[in-house]
Amino acid sequence: MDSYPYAGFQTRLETGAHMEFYYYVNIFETKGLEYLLLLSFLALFIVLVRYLSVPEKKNPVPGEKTSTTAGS
Amino acid sequence: MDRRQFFKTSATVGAAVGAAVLPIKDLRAANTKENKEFIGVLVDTTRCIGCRSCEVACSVTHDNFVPDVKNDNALEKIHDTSDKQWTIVNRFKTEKGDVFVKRQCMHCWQPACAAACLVNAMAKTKEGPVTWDGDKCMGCRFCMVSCPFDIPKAEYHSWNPRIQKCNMCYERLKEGKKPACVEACPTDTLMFGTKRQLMEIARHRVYSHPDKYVHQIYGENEVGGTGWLYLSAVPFSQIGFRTDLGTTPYPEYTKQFLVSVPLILFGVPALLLGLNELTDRKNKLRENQGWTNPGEEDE
Amino acid sequence: MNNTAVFTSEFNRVFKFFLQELKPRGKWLTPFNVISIPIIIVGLIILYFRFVYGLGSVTNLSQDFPWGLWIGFDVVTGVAFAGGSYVVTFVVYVMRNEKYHSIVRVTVLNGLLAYIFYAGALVLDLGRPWHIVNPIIGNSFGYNSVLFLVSWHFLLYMIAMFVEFSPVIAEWARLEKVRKFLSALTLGAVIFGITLSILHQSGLGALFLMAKPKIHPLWYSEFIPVMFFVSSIYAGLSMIIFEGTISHKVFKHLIGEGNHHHYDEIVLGLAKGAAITMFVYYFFQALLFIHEKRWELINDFWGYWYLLEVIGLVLIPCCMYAYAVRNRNLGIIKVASVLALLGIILNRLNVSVITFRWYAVDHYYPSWQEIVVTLMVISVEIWVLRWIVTRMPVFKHD
Repeated sequence: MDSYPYAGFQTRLETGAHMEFYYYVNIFETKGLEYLLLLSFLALFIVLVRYLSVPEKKNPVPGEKTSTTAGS
Repeated sequence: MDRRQFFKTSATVGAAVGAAVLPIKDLRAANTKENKEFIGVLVDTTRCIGCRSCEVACSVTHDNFVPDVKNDNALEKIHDTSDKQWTIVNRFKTEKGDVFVKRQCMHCWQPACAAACLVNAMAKTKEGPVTWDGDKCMGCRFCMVSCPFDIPKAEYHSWNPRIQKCNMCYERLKEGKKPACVEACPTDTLMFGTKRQLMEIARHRVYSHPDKYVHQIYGENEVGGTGWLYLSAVPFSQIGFRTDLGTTPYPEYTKQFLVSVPLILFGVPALLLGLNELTDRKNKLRENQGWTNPGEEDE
Repeated sequence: MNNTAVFTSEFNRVFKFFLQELKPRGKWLTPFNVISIPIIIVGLIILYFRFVYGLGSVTNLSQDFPWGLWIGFDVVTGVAFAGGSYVVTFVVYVMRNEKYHSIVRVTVLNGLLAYIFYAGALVLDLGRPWHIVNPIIGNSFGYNSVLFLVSWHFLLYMIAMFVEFSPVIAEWARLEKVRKFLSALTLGAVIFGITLSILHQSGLGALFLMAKPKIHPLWYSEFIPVMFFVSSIYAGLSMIIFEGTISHKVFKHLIGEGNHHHYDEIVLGLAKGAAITMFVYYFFQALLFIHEKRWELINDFWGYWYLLEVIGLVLIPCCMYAYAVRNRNLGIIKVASVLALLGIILNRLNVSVITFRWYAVDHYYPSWQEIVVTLMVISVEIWVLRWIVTRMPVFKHD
């Protein structure tokens, strides 16, 4: 077939039969997975924020030691 | 006169004056008075013989490039409208023989190009045709990005480029004439009328000759409905039409975003001011209790 | 002395001062000058051809590809990079976090210049640029258009950023009363600016909502505006880190010694924000992946290209940022910022140009002239930045 400028590729809409209203289509098909993703996101987010909560270091003033143990 | 009396009097006087001065009664009438139905064109591809008189008539009427239909081999290759031709005819080799298809702007009921245009250069007229106004156009080409049929064409080699597309001969319509292509067509492939009339004619043709046509009128629901309708003997995907454009009018895709604009403009400044107030208070409290902001000690 | 006399004498002083400051300082033959001056000259010649012979004479734009490098990169990507100014002003002026105060001036300046030059690049791309006043002067308001909103917001945001930066100019011209007045406007301008930024960062994404049948389904969704907004946050933060790395080397003499140490803490803070934002953005992408059932589309070139962008240039720099913040490793942060910025470039170009009509037989690629003009715009912007930074108290704390 020639490569028409308009149609020449299978788009998901054609294969998915979304334009016709005569087939069963479940638009909530992926909702279960989405909720699972959301829960794992919340859990991992808490982990991430705790991982990143590193206490700040003060500015090193020249000559001042930051450690109080001798010989370090 | 006490305060209450004053308010009651002024309110009634104001309402009376308003009702007399403002054409409130007439506003509703004005809404329903001008309702004309959109016009369109029905293209029955089973009747087209590929003579391309429509191409010639269109270009002659609008001062565009007039093709030499006898000698150029334009039908050999599938091509598109251009910045020099507002309409073209393509020839498709199908199992039912050669099918000739005229393409041009579809004059959508809810055009993506008109919704895209930030200066209303592309606009849907009350009668139906979608027109372009050169006095307003900035040449941003957003209409070209948005059109699901890829119709608007830009004059890239001009210092003052126009956007070229069919305007359904709007100037001729104002004079009571039909579009030039419809008048020029020798085989009644093109039929001009209101979309309602054309839909009934198209349905009638399909029901009367169920084996001759594919049982679909392209443009009935595509992109929310278009002014130009097509009938075909073979599936539309075989004659250069995209069948995956959906039935949602394209401006609807931006509605969700545009609606949230005033919400954000109302809500965010208030939210930010609130946050600012809260942090100021929090900082003041902290300072009172001897705490300081991180990093402040160094300055 | 009466008020008009004071005003005129001040005006004269500032005017003379400004003229004197226009004189160049420093060497002419720096590596940057040697590269950028020819680019600018060639770019101007190209622009002559563009305005006389039309866009088609210098670009590879076509009827199938109306938007190319200038829109896709200069405008859409450039604006994402400028997101740093609204993030930093939010943190400093709204949330009153003084830690980042020292970078506000340079970030706002960078943002202001970015918008001026990228809006300028947009004007170069217009077919009839003289009509750009139409949507502004009320000749023709296309309220229905997302682009109308974006263009107005660009204009208003530039004004807001100019107001935010104007105290620096007043300080430079030693107009103390003007500076005080302008400083009082800062919070208002910041709040206005953040609101506008949310809308136009997402608005640039909303431009592509109607191009649904033309953008590859791995990149198209109704949430493009949200994705553009969220990614502009970490794009801005990464750009601050990236530009800051360069500025601190080039303009070392202008930045005080104490600020260098302090700056490390700032970078760590910015990287932390970037890590969190990228994490959220990544999960947004994952949500869309599930919702749109994108696993069906993964097994071809476009699928791998998508994975490169989302895993290679979002998830990986996100992890790098997180690790580097935890272990206080500034080197890794700098590399992560480059990867994140590349991811932003790729994302914006994918949506606007690369996967636009991905099914076309002859796909658009930018012409050399388009690339040179883009480099010219960036070069001129850096020239202006350098002029301002070496004269005005940008690296000073206010």
